[in-house]
Amino acid sequence: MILIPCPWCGERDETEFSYGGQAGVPYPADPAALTDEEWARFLFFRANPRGASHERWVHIHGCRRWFGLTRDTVTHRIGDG
Amino acid sequence: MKFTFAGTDYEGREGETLAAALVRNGVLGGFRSLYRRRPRGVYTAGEEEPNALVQIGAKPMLRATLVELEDGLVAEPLAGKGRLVAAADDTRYDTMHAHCDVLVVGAGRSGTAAAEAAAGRVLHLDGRQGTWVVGLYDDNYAIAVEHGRRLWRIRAKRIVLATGAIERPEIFPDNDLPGTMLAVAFERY
Repeated sequence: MILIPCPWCGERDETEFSYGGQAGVPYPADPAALTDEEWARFLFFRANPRGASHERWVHIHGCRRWFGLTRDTVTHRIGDG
Repeated sequence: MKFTFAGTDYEGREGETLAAALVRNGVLGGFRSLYRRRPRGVYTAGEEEPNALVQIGAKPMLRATLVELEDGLVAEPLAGKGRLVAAADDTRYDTMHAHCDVLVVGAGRSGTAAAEAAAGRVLHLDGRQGTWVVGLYDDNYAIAVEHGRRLWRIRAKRIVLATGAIERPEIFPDNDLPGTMLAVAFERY
């Protein structure tokens, strides 16, 4: 179980957090103009990197704050997002 | 001090393990392998024991090398498989959380020296004193079991492993026959 640094509370156990998915996925400017394929890509397609992964997390069982971080999917090392 | 093993009474001594008492009483076999029921005997003098498994009352799969003798103890040999007892278990089980600066695992010479030299909040655990550290996870997270009843979830800043070593067995024909044991166990018994 890894430690995750909450910007408000400090380092806490992973079980106190919820994963919020990949960071930096912008909402389409004009959703109605997208084809079904483009809409599906926005909804469901995410990066699956080996190495640095930019992610959103929420301290759901703590201060409930949302924040971003970079987690290495191989070593679990966490940097700033 | 009297104890019973597989229906036979033996004389035991205060402070010795069940395995030590069996060997001292000349019981080198007494156990069976799981599938083919081949004869087996006490092979080690510690937690790595593969053969000398016993059931004591409702408790299955205890290693005879770790069971401390008590007067009137009744142990049944197991062939690699325990028995569930239908009676309700009135033991209380719980979980504790602990945080420390240094977790030292093992209370041998190195572990004791490390624990004395360590600064801050030091947690010093050894299975032979009742608390086995059974798992190490990311970011110095450790799991320990106290007397089989209490789970400890430990987050340490540093962890010192001073667990010692387990002897690697010699490989030779018929090395599974009762009476064959690790050199360390032979020395101990």
